Parts: sequence; C-alpha cells; structure tokens
Amino acid sequence: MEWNKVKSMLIALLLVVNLLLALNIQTLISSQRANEQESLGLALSLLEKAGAQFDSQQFWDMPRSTAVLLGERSTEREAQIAGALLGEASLNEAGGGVSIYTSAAGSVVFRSGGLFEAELNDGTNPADLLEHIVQTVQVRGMGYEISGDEEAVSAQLLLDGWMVAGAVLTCRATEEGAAASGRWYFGGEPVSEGAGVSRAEMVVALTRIAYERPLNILNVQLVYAQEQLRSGVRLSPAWRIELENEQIFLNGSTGQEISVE
Amino acid sequence: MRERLKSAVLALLFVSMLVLLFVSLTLGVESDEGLLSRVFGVPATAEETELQPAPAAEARVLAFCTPSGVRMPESSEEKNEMLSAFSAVYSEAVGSIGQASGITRRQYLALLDAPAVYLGFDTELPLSLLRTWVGYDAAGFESRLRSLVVSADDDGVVIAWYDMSAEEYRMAPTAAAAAQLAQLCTGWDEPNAVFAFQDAGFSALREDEPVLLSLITAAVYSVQPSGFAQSGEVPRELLAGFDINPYLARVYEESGDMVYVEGYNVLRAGAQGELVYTSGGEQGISLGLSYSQVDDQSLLLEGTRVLLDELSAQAGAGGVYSLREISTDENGETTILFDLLLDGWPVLADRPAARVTVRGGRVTYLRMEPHRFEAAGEQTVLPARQAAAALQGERGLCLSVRYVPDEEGLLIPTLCSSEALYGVE
Repeated sequence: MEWNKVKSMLIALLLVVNLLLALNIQTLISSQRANEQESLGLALSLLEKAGAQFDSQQFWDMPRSTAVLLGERSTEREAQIAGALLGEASLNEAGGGVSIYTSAAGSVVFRSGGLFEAELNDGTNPADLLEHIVQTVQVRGMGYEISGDEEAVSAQLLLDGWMVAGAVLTCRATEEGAAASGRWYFGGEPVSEGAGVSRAEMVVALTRIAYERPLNILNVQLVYAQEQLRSGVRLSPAWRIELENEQIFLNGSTGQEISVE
Repeated sequence: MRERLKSAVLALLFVSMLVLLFVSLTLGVESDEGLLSRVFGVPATAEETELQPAPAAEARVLAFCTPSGVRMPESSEEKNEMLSAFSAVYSEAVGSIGQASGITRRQYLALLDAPAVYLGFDTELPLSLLRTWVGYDAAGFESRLRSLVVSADDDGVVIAWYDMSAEEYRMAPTAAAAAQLAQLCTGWDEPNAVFAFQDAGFSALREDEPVLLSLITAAVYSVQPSGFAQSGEVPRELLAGFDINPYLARVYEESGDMVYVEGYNVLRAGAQGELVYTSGGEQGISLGLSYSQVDDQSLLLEGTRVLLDELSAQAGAGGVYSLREISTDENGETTILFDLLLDGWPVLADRPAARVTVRGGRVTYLRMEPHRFEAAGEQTVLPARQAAAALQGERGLCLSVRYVPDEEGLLIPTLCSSEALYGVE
C-alpha cells in the first residue's frame, strides 16, 4: 500500500478520533454543569424549607467555581516599592517579619500579612502616593477601587473583580507630605492552592445555620479573605451574606462560618 | 508539496489528539494523584507535609487589657477567637524581640494596662521555644517563663516576663505595631476580670494572675476508656500507627492485657484502657525527622504531638494534648510528658496523659490513655472570689479551671489553685 494512501487513512481516522474526543469533552462539561445546577437547585430548596428568606437569583449569580490562592511574600517587590517611594533606602530587618526602609525622604514599613506603613516628607500628596503604591505592586488578576477626598484617599484591593476583605490602603496628608497605612498585597502573582467548594455545598452550609437562627438574606457577595501565613498570605474565597442586622461570612473552601476583618 | 501538507496535517491531528485526550482525562480532576486514580484506579495517596515547629503547649490563661478593664474568655470558643486575633501581633512581637533588660516589679505591673495582652502557660517554657513556635530562630534567648505580657508603652510594643532562671522581671523592645495591639484590645472592650494585684480579695494569688469574675458554665463529661483489651482486638489502623503489622504480629493475652509483638516492637493494650508501646534495638516509630533535625527540640515536640493526635484519632479518643514537661538525659534520650485538655482546660490526673521517649528521632516508649468523652450535663464553676476566699493565707498561687474526676468517674469543671510545678529544660 502506498504511503500516501496510509497517510490519508490516518488523517481520516485521527479526524474521527478527535471529533469523538471533542464530543466527549463537550458532554463532560455539559454534564458537570447540569449536575452542578441540579445540586444548587436542590440545595436552595433545602434552604427554603429551613425557613430562610432569600432571592434565589443572587445564588445563581455567584461564580460556579472559586480557587484558594497562595501568595508568597516577596522581598524583591518590597524593595522595589521602597525604592520607588524613598529612592536609595537602608533596610532594617527588625525580626518578626518586620522590614523597615528609611531614607531622607521618609520611611516605609512592611509587616507580615501585608500590613504596610509609609511616611513621606517630600511634599507628596496623598492621591499621588496611593496611585504610586498600588500601580507599582499590581499583579495580574488584581485591581483596585479608589475613593476619598483631598484629605484622605483609600484604595480597596480587588481580586478578579471581587473585594479582598480588609485589604484597604489609606493615604492622608501630613505637614510635610503624606502617610499611608493599611493592608495590601505586596507578593508575587498568587498561585492556586486548590478549588473552593461548590455553590451547592455553600448553600447547604447556610442551611445548617438557618436551622439555628432565622435568616432573612438581603444580599450574597463573593469576597476574598486574607489569612496571614509565615511566608505570605492565603487568599480564600468567602461568601458574605448580608442579613437584616448583621453580616456573616462562610469560608469558600470549608463552608464553615468565619469572622473576617 | 501535497505530501508535505498531508504530513503537516497528520502531525497536527496527532498532537491535537493527545491534547484532547489529556483534557478529557483531567477534566474535573484537581491533582496528579486524582488523574492516576481515574486512569489506573490507583488510590490517591495523602500528601506528606514537612514538619514545621508549632505551639505544643496550650495557653492556660489569656487576658486582654482594654480601655474599660480586663477581658478574659468565657468559653473555649472565645479563647480560640481571642488567640487567633492576637496571633499576628504575638508572632511579630516574639519574632522581633530585642535586647532584654531587668525591670522592677512595679514597672512590670504598670505594663498590665491597656493596651496589653497577658498570656500564661501551665508549664515553664524557654523563650527560645516560643520563638521557634512562631517560626523564628531560637539563638540567644535563654530566659525561662510561665507567662508574658505584650504591652504598648511610649516607645512602642514591649514584651515583659518574670524570668524563672534569673529570678527577676525582664522587658525587651519589639518591632510589633502598637496601633494593631491597641485596635485588638479595643475590640474586646467588655471587662469581666481583674488582675490579682488590682483586688485585695485575691492576695493569695500571683500578682499578675488574671481572675475571671463572671460565672462560667461548662460541660460535665463521662469517660469511657478504650475497651481494646476487653474486645480482644486493637483496630488495624491503630496498630499501623504504632508501626505494628497486624498480619505479622504475635498476639496473646497476659493478665487481662492484649499484647502484640512484632520483632522488637511491643504494644500492650491494658485492661484499664492504657496503651503502652516499647521498642528495643535501633527500631521505634519514626517521627519523620532527618538526621540533622533529631536534636531540634521544637521539631521533636511537633512530631510527637502529631503522632499522639493521629493515634488518638485512630483510637476514637477525644481531647487535645498539651506539653507539660520535656527533658533530655546525658544519653540523648528525650522524655516528653503531655497533659490532656478538654474544651481548653486540663484534665487533672495522677500521672501525665501521655509519656513519650524519643531517641535518634524515633519513639522508643509511648504510653497513652485514649478515652472517649461524652457530655453528661453542665456545671457552673465556683466563682473565683469564693475560691480565693478559701485560699487566704497562701501566696503565689494560680487559679484556673481544670476537669476533676469525681467518685462516679465524671469529669467536673472545677476552679483549682496550683503552684508552678512543671517545666521544659
């Protein structure tokens, strides 16, 4: 048989195999989606039976899948931002995860868990200082929202468009310049540590709470909670459930109720 | 030309077949082990993690000095919440501790003022061990203490303690954030306690002992010893935890105890519920330490504590093990004693809840008493003021809740006084 004909047959065979594999993938994806939607529907009916009041569309609008992210603390990036703010600065590793950069222009302090303080005495205004910081350390997938006035401006850290709870940087005017303080993310691009639980599992966790106390759910929102580690931070997805008089947070990887700053 | 095109198309289709096959197999699978399981039916193996130093001694008492007064936790849940909130400032303070200097008793007591946090242990601990437990090196910190205060003064955050070796009060500066400490103490601003030196009614206690004034109600527990000897069998998973192969071990009964022997390893399940493991020769249960780690006290403690937790879980037992004492003899053999805690409070017993001997990173002796605990009601603990009144004339005592066995074998939460007894060499 000519090699030419063999090639033609192999091409036809591979076309069929690839088509079947593609159909298989499509079927798997559709099946997973259908199962997930069915599970969520059943979970929402359980939540309703538990006496909770809610708008189910809010749960359908929540992301199907979330990831727990791990961000390593980066001394290089910290040195980079300190250099950008202070010029040539000396470093004092005070221990306990505290890094203090100082120069004639002021000081910058990095602490574990993303805590940050900076004071500049070169006439910088708060808005410029804030923009400078958040743009210098921005990594892929992270954004921010700015708010405030001439006296004080704040930036709220966002991850894939979702709020990172407690990650707010505020800059205020001082006599000689500006001061910044708060919590931010100064590490490298975070990597996935694992997937969060499904929407259905989160609703089931909420159902357990609904059996303990009445729930009138006004809003459901995804946020990221920062957990301080020795070498960086863990960014875990969490559901923020707004009730009439309080808000509760459910950990997106365990379904347990947590407290978030 | 046509041949070349066909060859290129063939190669492309082959590569895309491989890609589609990979996607098809990994869709919905999160790990390599999960992929193996899907393809070959191989069970996923648990990921082995490297041992890291972690606190092996639970805090006996915790008190926040708030602007309104002193706040102590009223339940184990609140204690865990307060410890978790304090952990960041504590790690920073202990990790950045500077040169310590002697201070007077009056200066020390003045630090017990907002914002400050007092942390007390049931055993004497070296400061070096506390540093390794929060991830920092131990070098150069020889002080030994049973409690410490993290406090903010005009110059920043300091740590102060009574040094048991030097028999003096000491204070050291730290680089911890004073604003964080202040915010922490403000967040728990509902006072329910005092320090002993602030109230004449507690003159029998250590001056810096925090005393909870509010009434606490805690669970009463019934105790069921593990009935392995009575049932005639130790579960296979538990045997495996002791590195004993259930298929190769010789089993016999002796004086009501079940004895398993494999080589130099012997496990005795006593009639009273205790488990005693001994090993001769160069064997023993490995703690997973490398040759360079076998002398690292904090890793030894963590390895032992993890082993006890695993054995306890396999035995279906309850409680949390907390370090009571650790010592190393001239032969390099380390003996570690643990107490058992229920809901964060120690169970009072004639002997330690667990005793472990380690040599060369291997456990050569282990005794534990895995028990199941069931809630059997509630009890309001005697108010501290009444308990202190009964101690008039004494000095230097600590006052804390412990679980005390009664005549019926129930564990009753009881306010107990104690002096400093144990320590870590």
